Amino acid sequence: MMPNLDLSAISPMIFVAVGAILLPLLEVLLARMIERRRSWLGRTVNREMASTAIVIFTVLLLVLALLRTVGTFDLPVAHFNLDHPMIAVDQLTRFLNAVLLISAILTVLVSSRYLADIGMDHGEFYALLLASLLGMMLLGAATDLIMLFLALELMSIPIYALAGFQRSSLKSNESALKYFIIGSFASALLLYGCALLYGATGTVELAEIARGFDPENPLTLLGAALVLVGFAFKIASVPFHQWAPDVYEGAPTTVTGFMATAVKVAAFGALIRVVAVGLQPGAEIMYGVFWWLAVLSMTVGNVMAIIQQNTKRMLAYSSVAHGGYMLVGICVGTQSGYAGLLFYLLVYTFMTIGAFTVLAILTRDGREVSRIDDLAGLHETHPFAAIVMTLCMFSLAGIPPLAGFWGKWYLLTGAVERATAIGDTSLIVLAVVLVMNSAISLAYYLRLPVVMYMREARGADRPDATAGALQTTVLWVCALAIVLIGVVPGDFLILFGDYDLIASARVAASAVSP
Amino acid sequence: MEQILFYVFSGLAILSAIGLLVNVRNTVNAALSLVVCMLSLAVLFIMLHAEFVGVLQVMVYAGAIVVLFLFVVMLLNLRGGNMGAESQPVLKLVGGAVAVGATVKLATLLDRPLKPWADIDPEFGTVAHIGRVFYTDYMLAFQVAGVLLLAGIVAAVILAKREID
Amino acid sequence: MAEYAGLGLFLLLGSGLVALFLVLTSVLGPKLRFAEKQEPFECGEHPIVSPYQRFNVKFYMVAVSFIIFDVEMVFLYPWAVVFKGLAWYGFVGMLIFLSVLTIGLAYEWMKGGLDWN
Repeated sequence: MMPNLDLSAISPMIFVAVGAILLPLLEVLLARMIERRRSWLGRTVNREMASTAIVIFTVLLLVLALLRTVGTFDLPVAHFNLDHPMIAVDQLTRFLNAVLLISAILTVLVSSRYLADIGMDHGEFYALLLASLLGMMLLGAATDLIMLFLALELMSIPIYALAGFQRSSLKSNESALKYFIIGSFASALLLYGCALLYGATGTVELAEIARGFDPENPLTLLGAALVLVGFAFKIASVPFHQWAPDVYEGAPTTVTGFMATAVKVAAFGALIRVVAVGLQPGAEIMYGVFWWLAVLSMTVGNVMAIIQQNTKRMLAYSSVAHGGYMLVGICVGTQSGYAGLLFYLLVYTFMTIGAFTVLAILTRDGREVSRIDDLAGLHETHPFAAIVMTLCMFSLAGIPPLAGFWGKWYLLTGAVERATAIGDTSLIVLAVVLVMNSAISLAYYLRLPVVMYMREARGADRPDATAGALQTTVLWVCALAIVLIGVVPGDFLILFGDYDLIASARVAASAVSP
Repeated sequence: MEQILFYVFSGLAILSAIGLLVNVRNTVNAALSLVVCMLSLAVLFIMLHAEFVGVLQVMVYAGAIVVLFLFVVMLLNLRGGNMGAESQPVLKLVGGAVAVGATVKLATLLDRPLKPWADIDPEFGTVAHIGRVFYTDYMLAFQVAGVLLLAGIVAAVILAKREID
Repeated sequence: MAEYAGLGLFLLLGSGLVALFLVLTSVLGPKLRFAEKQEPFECGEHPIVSPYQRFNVKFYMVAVSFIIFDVEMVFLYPWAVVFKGLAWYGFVGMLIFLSVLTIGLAYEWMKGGLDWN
């Protein structure tokens, strides 16, 4: 009866879970100490000390988890429960976890000061962030539909609350409500899809679903379609994207950064596993769906981004467009396609967090710098933030030799390779659309540097920016990562050089001990 | 007998679900329609020998969740006139057309014979069976559910508590 | 199915009885309707406010707590049924689960989520 457990396989997730569980308790205990004027190390505990303790605790756990993830990267596939693996810790999982942890660490570092600025300096923020992160890490690792759904909910529900964290702001409330309703709708569709897949194949394990997948069976097809629609909502690809601009705009800026990066990373990771393993026998039918999703997301995202006046809305549509670029990797569906997609996720995380960090720094007394034109003259008030923002914009636009260029490059070469290998012109069309869209995107990405450097600030509206030390660190990290990955992109792609991601995902999903 | 019961309760479930939609302007009635729907579903589950799921359906859905719905309805206190102010006939038409089209398409697809179901162990779905599987094979999912509930508590407190220190 | 026959009979009888009473009162009961009689009963006074009041958000907190701990109890039920067969593994698993939710309860309590004022 005693199951065969391997706790070390999921130790990074355990670190995150411990944080998510203990942080609420820590928060109330510290609040009580403040209330009763207890002292610690000879000083009366105040809110500032409490916040510092909470941030240190959070970052410590996250760094431990990250070190553990990176340190075990080369190990073979591991499972928590060998008798009944619901999650697989393989290279795909470890890479996703590393990117997710990086995104979370950067978000925490920016948030500590940002939360004080918007007057919501509560430890619950970090508890919810870690709970969501745990869901994301499990989502990328899930090889079982039950785990997939649970992880998706654990990722989403804290994020809904985080979107509404700035309770005094109506926009934040609107954001949380919209995200919650649309997100629940998407979860329900996905759950219905899972139920139909279970009904059609009699199993919830991805590897077994692949074995029982019958493209002739309407139940299977409908199930697969609903699961894909659920994912399409989560990654905000057109036509399932309408929630994104409102939600991104209303949510607290650091939450938007986390939402734009980590949710995409986790959802794309899970999508790779679902598409490459569970629904693999239906790949040809799904190809057409993904092709259209990719083309529409790229085009609509970029065109809509051009006409935005609000920086966060513009970045929201930009995020929709980037989701479209990433879908190209899913369309390609080969080792190089998925490797390109994962590399893109890493790069995208740094670019996007960098951009949102600059916006978070500019927030003062709860007032956001919302319009693009409000950034005018930033190079005088905060030259470093202006430089980082420019780097991020250039990188998002895909200007060589920055990281974003290589992200698109690997997706393109993957698509062209695959197209020549099987003689399929539709992939070439996709590659052409990607290049054309990158050109369109220059129109709005270059607008920010132009406004920041070439337009005079108007008196009192001049953006005031005094970044905290932690926030400056994040800016440095993002800037260095964008440049460094741009200079030696191969070293990062080579992370997957030896690993056949698809085979790894399949082995991981089907591994059952004798 | 079983067939008659099945048709009675599935019919009741569908009717009450439609009733929920028709009553959308009177939210309390809609919530009560939902209770009827949930109870009918519970009967269907019990007829499938999924007693535990049936009991859950009554306890959690017809009980707790509908209570929450009613609280939210009273919390917002939206009287009839406030809703549907921005009625969009084009969207309604398109949505309706898609729904009807999808239903027809599905009905024609499902017309062909489905594969016969494999024989199911009579133990399958009993409380003891669920317990044995859930607390061994699905232990990880069980713990994740615990963290999810905790996150739910934290989220509710942070969003709904009037004054936070 | 047979074991549910009694339950079904009980349901039928119960709902039949309720329906009978409703029909009988509406058929046999005296009906005299005028405006004052249609008003909600307020100890003989005219109602001063609309009965449709917004509920305090506190009720919502209670409802959410109720659902969460209701679900927790649901998890205990099958566990209790197979408790002996699970050995210490099931015990420790449930212990961890309950500790996590107890932390949740402690958090809500200390945060004042259970206070009415």
